[in-house]
Amino acid sequence: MLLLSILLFSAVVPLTSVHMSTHVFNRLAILVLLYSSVLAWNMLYLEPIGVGLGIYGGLSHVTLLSQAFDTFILACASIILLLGSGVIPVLGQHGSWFEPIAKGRVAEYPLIILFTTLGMSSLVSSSDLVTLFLSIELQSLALYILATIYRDSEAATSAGLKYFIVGALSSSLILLGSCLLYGLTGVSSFEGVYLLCSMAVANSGIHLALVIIGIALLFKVAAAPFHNWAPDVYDGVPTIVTTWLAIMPKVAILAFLGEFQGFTHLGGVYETAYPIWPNILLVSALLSLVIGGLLGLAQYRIKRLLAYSTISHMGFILLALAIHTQEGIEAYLFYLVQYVLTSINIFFVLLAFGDHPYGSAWDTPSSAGFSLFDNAELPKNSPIRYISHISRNSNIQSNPALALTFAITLFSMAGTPPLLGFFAKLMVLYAAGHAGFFFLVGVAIMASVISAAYYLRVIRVIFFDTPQFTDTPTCRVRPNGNHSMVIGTITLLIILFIANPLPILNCLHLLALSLFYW
Amino acid sequence: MNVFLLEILPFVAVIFAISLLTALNPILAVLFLIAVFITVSAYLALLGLTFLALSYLIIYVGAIAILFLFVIMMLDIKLAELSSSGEEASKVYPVAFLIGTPFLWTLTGSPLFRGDTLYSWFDLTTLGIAHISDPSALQWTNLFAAFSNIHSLGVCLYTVYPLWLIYAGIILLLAIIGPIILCLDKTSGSTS
Repeated sequence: MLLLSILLFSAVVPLTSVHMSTHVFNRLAILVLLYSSVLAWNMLYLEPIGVGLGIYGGLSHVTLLSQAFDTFILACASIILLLGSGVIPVLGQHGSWFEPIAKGRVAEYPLIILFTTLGMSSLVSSSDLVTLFLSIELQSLALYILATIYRDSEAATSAGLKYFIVGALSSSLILLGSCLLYGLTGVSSFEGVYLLCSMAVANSGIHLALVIIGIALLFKVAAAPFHNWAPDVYDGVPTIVTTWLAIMPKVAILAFLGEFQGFTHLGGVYETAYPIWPNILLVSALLSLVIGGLLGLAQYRIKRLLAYSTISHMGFILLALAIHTQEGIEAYLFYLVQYVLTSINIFFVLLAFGDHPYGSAWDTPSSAGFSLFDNAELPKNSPIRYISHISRNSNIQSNPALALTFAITLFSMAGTPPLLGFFAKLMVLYAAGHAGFFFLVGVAIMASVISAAYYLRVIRVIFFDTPQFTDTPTCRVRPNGNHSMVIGTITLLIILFIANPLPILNCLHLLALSLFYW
Repeated sequence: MNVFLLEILPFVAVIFAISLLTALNPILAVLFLIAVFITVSAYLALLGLTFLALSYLIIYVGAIAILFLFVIMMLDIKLAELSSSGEEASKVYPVAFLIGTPFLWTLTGSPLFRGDTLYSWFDLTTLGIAHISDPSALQWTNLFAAFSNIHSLGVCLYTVYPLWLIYAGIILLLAIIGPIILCLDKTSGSTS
């Protein structure tokens, strides 16, 4: 379905983009994603899926977990695409100012999104090293284009270039690792890796190959020692694209990591012949927690701050992955779902802040040389870039509900008790403590307390700081219908999770069980 | 004839490589580079490594070297600057010699390195799993049927691994669409 629609789109977009409005494409893409999500959901109930089914001659496979991730990824992708559909009417209303964008690349945006989503869903169900490499390439090549799609902005272009170079480096690392593994053993399918891992004798060459592949995948999710590119890239690209970059590829790769180590029995510190793999994950989790917690304190640009918060979340997820007990996998799944929902919400609110009548979520051409106190440009141009902008745009009079939503989401990310994020952290820490990682639990608690400080700083700016830019007339922030629907739904989910946690928890519990006992 | 060509071609390649280094005109240098690639690919084809030879031709000659050629031709460099920079480059030759000689030495195996050739670093026996892919064990299969490289690769690719071919096709499609999206200027050149 995805492939078909991509082919259709690539034929239709150049032919008709002169005549058709761009948000028709966007809506079509949303429908396509939703429909493929439903198809993936449909597959969940097939009996043989539970055992895991190799398709295309064993080059990729379908398991319960991969189908569930497929459904989730596609649904999230359609939600994030709503962002685009929200912006385009704004472009239409205030045509003259947005002329370069409205005429330009928005029509191709959903097409690229479909490409990367195809890469993601094939990544999740890949069961061979070459399939892994090809689908990661498909996914990231589309992401590089996405990052530079707004080429009039110098910041976006340089961020895209940086992303491209780092991505190329990590892709070549994956290739190097696969080559080593294949050269040493003649094995490229994950079943072969599983056989290798269940052998008693470990081989140093295979160790090396696993380390290299692991490092490359950690590069892709921007976990700690390999995180340096993330804040720059997230900060440089337009916020819509940041939403996509910060959430979707990470979900796909983390899903793949979980599936990979479950399938090949690499996970778990005590059972496997290659304890190097969980050890990489543990070291990376430790560093992610510390770096994400500490460096986030020094940020004054909102997207950089979110990037560091992402890194600290990565720390939690990797910790849960490295434990690889049934509890750990459950915690990892729950944390992943929680992380995706809260991040989507944060970015939606952030974009809604920027959405007041003269602004848009897209960067202006002048945003490259945009210094902190240069407010000559501010009245027209308000993609939110600095934390202090929020206090101007959304102080509590202008749209109290939106500000409250933002605060709730931030509290959830910080892990304040009655909200969704708290339970995710609780599950991870509980599983880690159960498996005996007390030092890491301590570090994680410290890191989450420290990172709570910077979330609280943002909340202080929203509610208690006097607006810096009093000279500009405050205009009322009014997000459009789609935005407010998504924001409202996710926020209610965050708050009301405690009222009825069983559906989500049971579902994830079954998924975790299927990884271990089928 | 083939043996004679196999003897001759490396020398031709080396001569081209030396003239590539000494050529002052960059366009000439790139042309010599292309010549080196072509001779090497002919050498590989004669050895029977047809796939490698073809990929040399297609990727290096067809894409990369031609790209270099275009880039150099587009850059507007005065010839006088070039000759002066060429003189500066000739000072580097001793260093290149110093770096290159040990490499050659290790490659061919010299007593200086206790018989460790560069090849032996990648030898499977030292890594402890020689029995899995011992080349001598496989040679009797050639008595039955000998496929060319390309034939066997093609059979493999189209019967067992068609999925990868499709993925590669999609990636190429994206690689075509992407630059168009990034470079298309809709404001100036509208078709309607």
